[in-house]
Amino acid sequence: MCGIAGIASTATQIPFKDILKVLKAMEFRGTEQGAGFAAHIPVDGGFIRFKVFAGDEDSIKVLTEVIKDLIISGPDKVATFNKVSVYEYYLSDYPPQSVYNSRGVWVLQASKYLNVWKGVGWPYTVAEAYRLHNLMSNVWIGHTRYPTNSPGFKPWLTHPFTYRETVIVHNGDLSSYGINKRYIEFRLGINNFTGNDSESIAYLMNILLNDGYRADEAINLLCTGEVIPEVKLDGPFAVIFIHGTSKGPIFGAFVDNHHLRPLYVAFSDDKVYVASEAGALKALDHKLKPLMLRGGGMVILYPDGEKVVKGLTEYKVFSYTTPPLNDGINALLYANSVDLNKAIDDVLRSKGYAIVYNLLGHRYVANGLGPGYLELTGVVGNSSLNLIEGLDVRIYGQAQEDLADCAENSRIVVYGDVGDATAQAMRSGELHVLGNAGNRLGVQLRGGIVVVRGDVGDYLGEYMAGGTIVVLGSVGKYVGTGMVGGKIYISNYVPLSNIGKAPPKTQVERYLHALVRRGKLPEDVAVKALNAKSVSELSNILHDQFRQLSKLWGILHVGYPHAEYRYLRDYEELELRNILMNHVLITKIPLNIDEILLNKFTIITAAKYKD
Amino acid sequence: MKEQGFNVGYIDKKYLIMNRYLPPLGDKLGFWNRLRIEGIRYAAEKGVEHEVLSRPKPRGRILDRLSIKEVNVDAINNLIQRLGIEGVDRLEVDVGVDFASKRLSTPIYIGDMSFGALSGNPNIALARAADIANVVIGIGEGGLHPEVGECSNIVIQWASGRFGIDRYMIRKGIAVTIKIGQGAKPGIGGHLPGEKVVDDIAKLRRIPPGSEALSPAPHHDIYSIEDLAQRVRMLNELTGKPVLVKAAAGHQARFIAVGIARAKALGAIIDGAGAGTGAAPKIVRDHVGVPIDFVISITDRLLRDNGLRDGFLLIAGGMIASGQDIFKSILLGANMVNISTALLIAMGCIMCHKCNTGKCPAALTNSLSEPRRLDIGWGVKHAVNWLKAVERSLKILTYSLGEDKLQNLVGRRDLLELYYADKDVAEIIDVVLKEPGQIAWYEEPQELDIPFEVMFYGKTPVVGMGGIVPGYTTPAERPLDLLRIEAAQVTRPSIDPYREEIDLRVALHDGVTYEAPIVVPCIDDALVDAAEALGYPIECELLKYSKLVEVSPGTYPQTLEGIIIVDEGEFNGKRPWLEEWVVVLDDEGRRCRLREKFALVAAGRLKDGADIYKLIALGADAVLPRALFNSVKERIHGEVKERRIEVYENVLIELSWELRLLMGAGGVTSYKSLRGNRWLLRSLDGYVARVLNVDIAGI
Repeated sequence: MCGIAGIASTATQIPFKDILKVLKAMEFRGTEQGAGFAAHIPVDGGFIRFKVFAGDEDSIKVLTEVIKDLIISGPDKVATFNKVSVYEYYLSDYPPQSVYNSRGVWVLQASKYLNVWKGVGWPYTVAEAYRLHNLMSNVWIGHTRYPTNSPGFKPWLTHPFTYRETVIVHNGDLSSYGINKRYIEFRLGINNFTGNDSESIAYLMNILLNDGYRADEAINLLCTGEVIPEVKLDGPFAVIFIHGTSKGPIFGAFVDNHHLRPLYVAFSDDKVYVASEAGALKALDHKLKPLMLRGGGMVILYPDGEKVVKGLTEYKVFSYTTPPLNDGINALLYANSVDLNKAIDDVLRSKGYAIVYNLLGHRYVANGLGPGYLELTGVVGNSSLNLIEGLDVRIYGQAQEDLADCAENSRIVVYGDVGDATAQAMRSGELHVLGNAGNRLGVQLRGGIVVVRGDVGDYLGEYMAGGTIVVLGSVGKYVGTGMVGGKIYISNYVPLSNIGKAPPKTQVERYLHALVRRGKLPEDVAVKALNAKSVSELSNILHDQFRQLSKLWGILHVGYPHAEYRYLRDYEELELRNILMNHVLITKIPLNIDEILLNKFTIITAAKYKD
Repeated sequence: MKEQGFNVGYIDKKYLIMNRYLPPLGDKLGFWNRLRIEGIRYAAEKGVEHEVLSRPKPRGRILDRLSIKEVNVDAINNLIQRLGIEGVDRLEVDVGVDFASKRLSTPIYIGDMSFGALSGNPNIALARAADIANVVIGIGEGGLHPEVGECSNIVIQWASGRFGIDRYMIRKGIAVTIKIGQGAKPGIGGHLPGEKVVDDIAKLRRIPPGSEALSPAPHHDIYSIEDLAQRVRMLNELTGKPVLVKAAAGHQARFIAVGIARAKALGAIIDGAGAGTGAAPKIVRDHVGVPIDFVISITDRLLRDNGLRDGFLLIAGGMIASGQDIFKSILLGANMVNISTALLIAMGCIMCHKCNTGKCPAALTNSLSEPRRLDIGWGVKHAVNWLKAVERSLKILTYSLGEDKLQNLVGRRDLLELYYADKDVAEIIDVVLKEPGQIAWYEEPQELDIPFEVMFYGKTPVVGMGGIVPGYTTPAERPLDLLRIEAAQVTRPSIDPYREEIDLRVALHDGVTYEAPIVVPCIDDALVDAAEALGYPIECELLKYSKLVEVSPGTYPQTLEGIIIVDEGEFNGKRPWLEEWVVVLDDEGRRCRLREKFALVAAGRLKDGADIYKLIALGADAVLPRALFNSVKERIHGEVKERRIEVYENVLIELSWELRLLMGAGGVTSYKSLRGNRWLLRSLDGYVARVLNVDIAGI
């Protein structure tokens, strides 16, 4: 779990301190229970770098005996964590599979192209233990650990996890671990697992890459379970990996289909940067422009320079003037959020307005504060502006996850992107996002107005109970599921299958065909129904037959949102014109409102949970 | 006022005031039986428990099978009689515990029941009782009732629904509890049925009246342990109060507790299976999560191993109903317990499991639109009496061990002995096994009773209150019932199938993809039509496939290819069981690397989504629940075909929702991640665990 990062280039050698700096900026995501790094540093002479953890010399003696014919050098004790030492060998070939199953030792790595270091500690203490500070490589990945499903004091449970030439760092927890593990067991003959679900990703990726799949294909198989169901990864995962080949390293990162873990990506010249937090990339280089990797998205850099990019948000450019910094609060001067918020509160109370700059993913900014006028510059970190009341806020930059939870009677303008679960349970007030928004924007919105100019992820307005959301860009899937109140306007066509949690299309088709076969539905009506653009339309076409079909939506529990795709009615046009005029007035970024209002909108209102 | 022939109270202007006990209903089989209800009422009337300590029993919870070394049951029961209330109160024994800014008299956290789940007066009565008896009470997630807000021992809840939360309210208690999950329905969010969302409740929660108040299954800002740590710190900074986290006991409970401790929370409330609820899907209540007595000891040990035990409160919940339950929980490794159902019983609950309807006869969980109201004074008196009775039992038990501080006994498992269990269970709870036996409790299968909402609405049944854990507190019909299903808590989000996609599609080996891994027998044309329309596999269609074999458990098929139907015929309890044979053939297929060449269909006396889930997780590709379909057929015999089709469709749709609910609870979004994933299962019984190759509960 935890914080992960990666930096890769096909042209430049990157110093170790860069990856360390990114991890340091994400200290919040970790503990002193583990950290690790991996780089592409091939072994001279084509030998195998073989490292193991062992708690006692006897186990090492036994292991040495097993692999004695392969040993070029070693074992050398290279580091020790909690009385468990890391021993390094150089071997003439990969060790036999049996070493993975031997008692008392845990394989850290056995690879030609990779060097992997990990142990119990903060990233900098692990780096000191292995003396990494002067190393260079063209590819780095790193991990700071918050132990999830395993104890924190055993070093072999830390990340990265490596199998032969594949090394991964993972943030998440796999519900599929049980079956992934069984597949690996029978496929590779390995039965001594650490119990950390993340290890399975290294094994599975290696299996697929060795089977001849390209990295992007392999990721696709891991995400879908097509071809081999047992390799499907389920549950939250954000993964960064390196796969060493004779042509050079393949570097990549990917996120689960539901975007249950964040990853931000930035590019500069020949380099690709990936991290769990946008603020961490900004901390490394303030010129970087971190973009959200959406659910099911991936970034891959092949050794020949080919890039595969899928599911990355677009960078939106606006012109705005940032506030003068001279009388502002420099966030970097505060050791923790309590002190920072106290400083903000004091200034707000005395002057009625405050300016904060140099925010680099600082958490909890201004939580519980208000009233007053607040200007924030940089990357606003997780869970900020929560439970604020009567606060008028400008964010010049972007905000990470959980912005404005339970906010009341406040106005927030973000000149950039916002992360997942923004405006969760917002009670009243306004939120204006000039950039894009992540998943679950306005989840459980209770009131107020949300306007987004850019694109929005999945589950927009989930469980929404009141208020109005206006989206001028595109939206993802599952819009308005479980909605019980409020209204969503989207200035685009949103297909039926993306509204609420529609049953699988195949099942709807089957059902209608069966009705035709049984003579319960004329064929032409079935054809019309299959082309319906909204649930309401479907319901109108099918009349009484819809009642039974609707059970596939789970209608009696939460129903399906009412959705129409049409031109605005007069009162809606008036409502929207007011909202957008206010939006332009507040944000000062122009918009052709007349033209927008001429469009057809997808208009979504509360679920019909009781017929 | 006469109602149903009993004198139940008096009329105050517009309300019928409840100030008497109604005759208890209780479960015929199950934890909350009439005897237990009467025991609680005795204590609530007299201020002392009828029985301080009982002998180990061969059936029921682990707590019921534990004895305390060197404490004579008869002697201690006599001692309390002899001392009397005054005598016990004079004992210089401290059974209290430090909690936030308070020193509590008794280590009890009264469970978080919201205003809305309870009808106002019970919320007030319990909060006042907590102040008087000096225990602590969580207010639940419905917002703060103004009169509850006047009490001083309250803990504010931060739940996924955020109902009624603002920056003033969140600071009003002595601590804040982040509610991740509850034992009755791990992986499922809070649910206040629309019937109860009226007037003040709707206003306080800021949702339209009459709508279902559903809290998201996970917190959408907490998908991992570091997210939780972030929230713990945020709430702590915002309120200046300590933060607790409440989670259901899933398989990973101990790791979650460690994560919570590492986040510098004050404590973890781990709520076990069988715990109470206002409304939970029955299938989840009965099969997901692990009883608390499997979890306490192993969690205590892991916290110690990680150096995180000092100053951290481990609070155990779920079917804790007496002083000795609390005492044994503390010896197992808890600091405190979380109690709610027992207190509702003390205040008149008759255990009719109808909390979700809003029509509670005892005026505890009724809708505000109903005419009954609890007499607050009467409620306070009985709740306080019961709390004092339990405190007295704890004192005398502590005293009998020669100790003067109960907290000194936390984790003293060496003082316990386990009876009538297997060594695997003894090992998990780290208690000496005094007399071997079996946890599992089997009885002949009952006649299947399919609820009307399944047959006529395609709706998954929702029930109130707990106490039902098959094979543990109620009889099991087959070994499958002893398996508990994993729930996602904290480390990954659970999935709400009504709002999020859970893919049930399955490709069997006849080249066809079906919508669900549920095979339908050809016992009625109408059933076949229904299955066809919904895209479920049909047995007689499968039988046409050339590469199909049928075997009974114990028989190997000639080759491992095509479709293999393992049919148990009539279930008789003899080995090899159907579930066992699924495990054997799945393992064999994987060992020979032939698993992708065949589909395994398990057919037998199977009845619901839980049976289907468990068999697929053990290794089956699809399941044919004969008992269910036979029973439906009987029920609708004689109806016209179109009507029968509709009922069958309802049953098939409902079955898929049950399966999705169970998968979603564990954060499993695809059938592909379920099949053969035995890690999602745990057994309450060591023998069943070994035969089916799954881990024991608690691990």
